[in-house]
Amino acid sequence: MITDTAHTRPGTGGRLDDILARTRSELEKGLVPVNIFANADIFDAEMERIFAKSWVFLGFESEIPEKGDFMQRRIGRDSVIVTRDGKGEIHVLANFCRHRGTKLCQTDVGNQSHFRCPYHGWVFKNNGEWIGAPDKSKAYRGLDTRDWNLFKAPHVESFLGMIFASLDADAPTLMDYLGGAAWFMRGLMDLHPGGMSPMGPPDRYKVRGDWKTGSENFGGDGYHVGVAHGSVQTIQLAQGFDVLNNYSTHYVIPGGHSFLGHDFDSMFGPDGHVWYYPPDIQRHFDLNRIDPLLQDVVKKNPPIVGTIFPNLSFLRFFGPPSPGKPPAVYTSWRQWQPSGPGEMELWSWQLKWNFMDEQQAADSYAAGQFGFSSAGIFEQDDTVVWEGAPEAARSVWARKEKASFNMQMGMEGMGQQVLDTSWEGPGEAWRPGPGEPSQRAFYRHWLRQMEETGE
Amino acid sequence: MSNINADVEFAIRQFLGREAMLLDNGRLEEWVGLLDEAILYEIPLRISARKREDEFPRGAFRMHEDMAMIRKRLERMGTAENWAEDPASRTVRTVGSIFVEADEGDGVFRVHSALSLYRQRAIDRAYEWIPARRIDLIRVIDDGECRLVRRTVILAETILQTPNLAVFL
Repeated sequence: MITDTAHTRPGTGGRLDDILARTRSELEKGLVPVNIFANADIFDAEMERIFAKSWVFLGFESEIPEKGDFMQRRIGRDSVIVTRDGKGEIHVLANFCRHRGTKLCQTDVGNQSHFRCPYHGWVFKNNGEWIGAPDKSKAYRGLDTRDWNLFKAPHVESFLGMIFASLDADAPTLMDYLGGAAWFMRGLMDLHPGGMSPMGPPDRYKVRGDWKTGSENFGGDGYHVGVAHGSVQTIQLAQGFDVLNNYSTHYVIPGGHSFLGHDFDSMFGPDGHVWYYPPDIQRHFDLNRIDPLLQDVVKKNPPIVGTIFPNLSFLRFFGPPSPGKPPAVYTSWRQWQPSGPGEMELWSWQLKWNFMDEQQAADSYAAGQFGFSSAGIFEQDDTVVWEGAPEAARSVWARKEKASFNMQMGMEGMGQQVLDTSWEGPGEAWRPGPGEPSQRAFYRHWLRQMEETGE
Repeated sequence: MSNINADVEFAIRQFLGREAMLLDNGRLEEWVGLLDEAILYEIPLRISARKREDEFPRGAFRMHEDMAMIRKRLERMGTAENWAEDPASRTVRTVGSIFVEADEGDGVFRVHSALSLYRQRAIDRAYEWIPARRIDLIRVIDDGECRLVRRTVILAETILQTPNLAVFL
């Protein structure tokens, strides 16, 4: 007899429903139980209730520019093939043969009009349609082939050249899902009609941290920068870490999304305008493409990090392509790919503005990879400090103490952060830092999704 | 005419052995002394593709570093905030399959080697293994001394299983 795994396999620290109930009561106090960071039941439920329901990022349209191009990507832990068919339409297909489950695609990218299973030879078009099998007339005369197409994501949409899919038939549109986050994304990506595109495939590395930690950190953790990344300021490749929080704004968007703005002008002087982009880049921007309030945000309070629920984040910061050279601004979209309880793969794309000349793009790429990559002088420290939460979650002592992590920063009575009631943009603006309203909102949304089984 | 001979090969083998010893022992300042001022240290991004030539998308890299960047890394490692390597990983690298492929002129030789790097961080239970091939340009100076002019590290992994490249390969 098959029973619900949630009731037969208690993970570290209790059963799913108990952990969720406790998370609810703890979150009201700004706390998050440690259990959620390395628990098999939590992880399995996340795959079903979050990754199979949300709009999940898959990559950029420009990564599969030609008809027949495909790339292997992930939705949660599932391997999917993102294809561009003969008509130029994009499909998201489950990467296994319907016959016996053999993987159809073993490479990261390629170009094919169809996928032939290496086991018995069932063949599928790159739009997922079953089109044949060896000895078809002798073997499958009676097969209703329409029942045996590859599984295909019911919803696939692009925004600003970024491809998203949802496996939930009842999903809202992508724009409804993104809500106010789309407004901020325009501010990041839509300052020029040519848009942005990745400079190569994602840099990928296994991190023994939970995917939520990446999302939450990039959603608004300005507080760790001065400590976890202190070395970068010490060696004089960055400045302002000590005052960063005093100039920050947490934009908290319904749906678990958030953006962390910084007043660059006050931090870095008049050159700070528009993410510190140098004049030779800035002269290409047409800020009139975006609405006046967003122009104001982009000029004076641009977000340097942000998270789109569940596991997509971005980073836009500046640094030298090599020490001694003038700083270049870099933009990375990154994804926290869950690979198991308390572990993930970090996938990071560096993007260029399509108007950039080769040198501008190369400088941005070099500066970005020097800071944030598998070898990045910022990022390598994150990969280590994030290992702690799953370790704590596996701790018997932590469980015995009913340990929770603290996300109370900036709550009423705790610090100086207040809700800016004059904010007219989407969501809420909390300022100044330090504070953790984005992190609390992320986990509140996470909890809502986890409690909604939808079955 | 190629100048690859036993003396050159011996000098290169000694150089690679000495380099491995310095890196495993954390003698990074001495290691930097083995680099040519015009060093290019690069790790291209690798993907899974049907054809070998498609495995390295043009211009995509994990690292692409000149001397100034390498020196900054060392400076960073010298701070009290180098959390990625606090304490420094204990590493043992085996450098083998050394093949002096070509004389590039001006005393510079193209050298292939395989690297098997064992890394244990802090008090970590899980060991990490970084397997790679390296294509080096090595300058052999008259007295048999060598300098590394260029290193291209070809990782076996497309998805890196160690959480960061805070160690030199």
